[in-house]
Amino acid sequence: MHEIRAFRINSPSTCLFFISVCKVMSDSPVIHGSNKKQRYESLVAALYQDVFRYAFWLCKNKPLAEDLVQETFLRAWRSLESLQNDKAAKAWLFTILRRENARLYERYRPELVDIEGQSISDAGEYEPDYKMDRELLHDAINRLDSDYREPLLLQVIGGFSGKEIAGILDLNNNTVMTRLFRARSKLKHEFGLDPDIADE
Amino acid sequence: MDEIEFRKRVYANPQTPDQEVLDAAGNNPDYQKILDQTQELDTDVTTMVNNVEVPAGLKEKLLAALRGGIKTVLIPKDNEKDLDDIPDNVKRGMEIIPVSSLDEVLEKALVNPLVPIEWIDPADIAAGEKGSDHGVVTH
Repeated sequence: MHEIRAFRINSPSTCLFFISVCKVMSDSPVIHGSNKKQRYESLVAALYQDVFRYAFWLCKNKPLAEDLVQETFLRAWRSLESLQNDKAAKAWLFTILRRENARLYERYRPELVDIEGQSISDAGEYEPDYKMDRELLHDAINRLDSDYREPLLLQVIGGFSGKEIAGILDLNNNTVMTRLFRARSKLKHEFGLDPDIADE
Repeated sequence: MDEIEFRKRVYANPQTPDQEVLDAAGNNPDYQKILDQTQELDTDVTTMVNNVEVPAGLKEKLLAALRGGIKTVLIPKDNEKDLDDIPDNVKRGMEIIPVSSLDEVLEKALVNPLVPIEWIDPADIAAGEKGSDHGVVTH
């Protein structure tokens, strides 16, 4: 007798799989045909990796990040009509992701111990050169207060401007720029590259 | 521009196109050193946070399933086209069934088919009993 397993594929494929499930389970009126599906697929293909990376650094746990991304794209599918401009898709998805992460915090917060060793793709195939000590940098980023880490991640993963980050985090632009300054100031301080001005 | 202001602008965005900042760096070796160091650090930070292993796709999942001794897998119908990229030895080693609905998943995954049950809402039963109480006369 064959063993049969249904796979959850945590990749863009997962999201497509859940589309099928939604169709069957809800007869949802949000299904408008192939245009929506094509738009969604393009969105997933273009942004899945960045969304996952941000999720990973946000929750510091790979399985949680996978669940977060899955839930994010599921919600994105349900409310795709509310995305007026595809150029804003990345900021829109990151905002959904942050809300999902906040919901997760309300429901459940596991021991966050496993970012060490699995955050970085170090299978030996490609090891980037770092000027700074890799472990120290890794720890320093993780130790940053979330007020400082989040805008930094949005800038270096999402490529967002200060104004865009302000929109995502619901802050004003000056606050974002100050937090980015403090984030890098703290990182530089870890490497002895900066006078102690992080709190100025 | 004083050093604090210079650092604030550079740290907030090491790749700043702000001409005032770039001119200040060009005119002052100390400022240039701050800019260079910050950009170096930023390159490392950017490399590190983006060097996250993103979960595998269909190919890697199927390879893992094969190694795990699984004989049959269900894949989303939409991913059927991706089977072209799957090595033949993997495809030969297992039955790969594309599915497009949850009904199909359940049909393949369950040993016995699902049989609908006759559902009687408890509220209806309660309402019926309550209704019959009105007809009871006690002495």
